[in-house]
Amino acid sequence: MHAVIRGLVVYLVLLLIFRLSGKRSLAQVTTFDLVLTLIISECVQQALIADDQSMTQGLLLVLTLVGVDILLSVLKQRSPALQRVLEGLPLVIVENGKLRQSHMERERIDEADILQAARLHQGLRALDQIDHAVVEASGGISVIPTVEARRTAQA
Amino acid sequence: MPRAANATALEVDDDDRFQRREWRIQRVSWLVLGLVLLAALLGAFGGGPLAHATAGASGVPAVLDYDRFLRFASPTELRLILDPSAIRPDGVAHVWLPHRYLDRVDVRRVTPEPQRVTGGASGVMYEFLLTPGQAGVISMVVQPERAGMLAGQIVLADRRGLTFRQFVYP
Repeated sequence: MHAVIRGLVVYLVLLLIFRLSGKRSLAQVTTFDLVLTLIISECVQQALIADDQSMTQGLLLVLTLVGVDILLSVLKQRSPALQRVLEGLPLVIVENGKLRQSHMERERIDEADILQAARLHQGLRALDQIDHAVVEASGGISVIPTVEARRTAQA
Repeated sequence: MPRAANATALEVDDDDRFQRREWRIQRVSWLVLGLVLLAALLGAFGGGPLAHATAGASGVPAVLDYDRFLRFASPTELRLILDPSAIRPDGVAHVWLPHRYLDRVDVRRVTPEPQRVTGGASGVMYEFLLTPGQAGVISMVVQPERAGMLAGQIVLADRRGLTFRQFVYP
């Protein structure tokens, strides 16, 4: 009984923490983010296992975490409202080549981040080659090149 | 193997029938997962309403509260409630447990502390000092050292006793 309750509480609290910390918290994995992930898992482990080292406890916890995840994925598919609350929405930060500064500031994103995504995924050189850029709900930045930039790339 | 031979076809190894079967099996397994979690919440794997049990027998002046389902290397409590008639006028009460049980658990704590512990060929006799004329409570915290069935027995001074069974999950 305790394993299931512990698993449930830890899942929901972590979900809340990472939802509140913003879209880009762990989506962009830098070396330090990786270290942070490892430390977080270390901290949570104690809370989950408590003083019960049995295999049953470990397996029940895994089943609980996977079970909640499946349940939430099913619920999110049925309810767009729940999906919004749990995962957030995409955010347009470049619209028709114009930066939306206030959105970028609130989401803690700067030009350098957009340019990085543009270079990595589209092979673009400069901001004027970007038509649209969107921070996806999953935290990554997707970039849509301008028509000219696409033409140049094809040529 | 690619499905179509023409040049524009997607070269991908997909199979609708197999995929449908996989989805069906997944949905059934989710149901099983839900039932396992429900059973776990109720205590089928220890620590819930299904796990708690009480052993008593007619003519035995004591009842035992224990857990039916235990976990390997995780402590559990045996709580023996003695009727005043099981306690001598000088406050002494004897409780005996067989080696058969004690060999498979690690006795972590006995409350109250026994006055004397005497080992015999087939078990251990604990002698407690309790308040005469009142019900007495003896708590033993034990930790299973092997997985599987555990057959327990608690015998009082007049040789009448309680038996109980516990299952230890690995």
